[in-house]
Amino acid sequence: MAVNELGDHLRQGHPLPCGRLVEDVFDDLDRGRIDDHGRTCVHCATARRSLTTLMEATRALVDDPAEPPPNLLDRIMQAVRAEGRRGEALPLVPIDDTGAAVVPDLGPVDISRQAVAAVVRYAADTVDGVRARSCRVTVDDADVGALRIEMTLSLRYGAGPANELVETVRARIGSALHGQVGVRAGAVDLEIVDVWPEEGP
Amino acid sequence: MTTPDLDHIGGHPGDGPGDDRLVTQIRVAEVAAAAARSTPGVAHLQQGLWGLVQQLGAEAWTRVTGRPRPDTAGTEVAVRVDPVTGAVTVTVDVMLVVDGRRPAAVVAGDVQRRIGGAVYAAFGVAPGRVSVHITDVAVPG
Repeated sequence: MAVNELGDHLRQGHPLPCGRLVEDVFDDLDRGRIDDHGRTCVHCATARRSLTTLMEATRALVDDPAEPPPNLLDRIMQAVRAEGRRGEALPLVPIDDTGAAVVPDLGPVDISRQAVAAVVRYAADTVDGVRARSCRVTVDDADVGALRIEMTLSLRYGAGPANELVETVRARIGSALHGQVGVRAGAVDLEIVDVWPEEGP
Repeated sequence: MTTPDLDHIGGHPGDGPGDDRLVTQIRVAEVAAAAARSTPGVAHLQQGLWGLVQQLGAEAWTRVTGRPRPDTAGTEVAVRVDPVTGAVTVTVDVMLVVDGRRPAAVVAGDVQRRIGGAVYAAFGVAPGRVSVHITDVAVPG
């Protein structure tokens, strides 16, 4: 998906203010041709100058013995992860400190599903004797503006009554969504799928 | 709509005629990125694959030419000029990670307002759209 998004971006090109694509100017420059528009347009002339400099710099780079940055792999992986997360996003209504929707609407805001899931899982893990397992976050169709959480849990044997632990988890998920994401929790479906033994002294 | 003279927007001293217009997107992105980074609750801006390619290219450019490029990682800007009316439209897309100490929705609203205000203050054009994409919430551990 990320590769497709990158491909789409590249296919769209980069339009100059005159409407011509930088890619077309580069193509003409590379082939040594120029049309009437290119001869008189200030934008195309500027692009040609910059591209010529770029081509010279590129030639210099070919001979550049510099090693790749030591953190290059980390940066690539972060970018890949961010790109993937951007495609799996939930709409978010921007609000002010009072909780009121920001007016005027300046544009769309979204948050990755995985980011919300991480907040929810962390909230569950803060309950002693509880470990979050799977977590699914979706828009709650039955509650406008709220998120629906479906999570499986593992409990430590002897940590307390399961129904109390589950209610504590539910409350912390609600608080975390409100305090860290800025949305309400709608339906929070919790399922206990495992119990692990209490460790000895 | 405001129709500022683009020749007065950004640019390096010594650039040729019209270079101001070509660098406008980078200048707007630089201002927008700085505004977003300064917003309380923003941990850092996060670039995607295309942004990383651009940044690596910018780093190589700086190394070879010695000319610095501003840090616009995580920010994409589109500047359109209507060829007939000269009206300018600016849109900004920013991708970021929040620190989890304030609600992400509040941080996003602040980022939109700050970017809008900073771009208007610098260039006299209010962005028509500021999209905010939150890719992560920095939770402890």
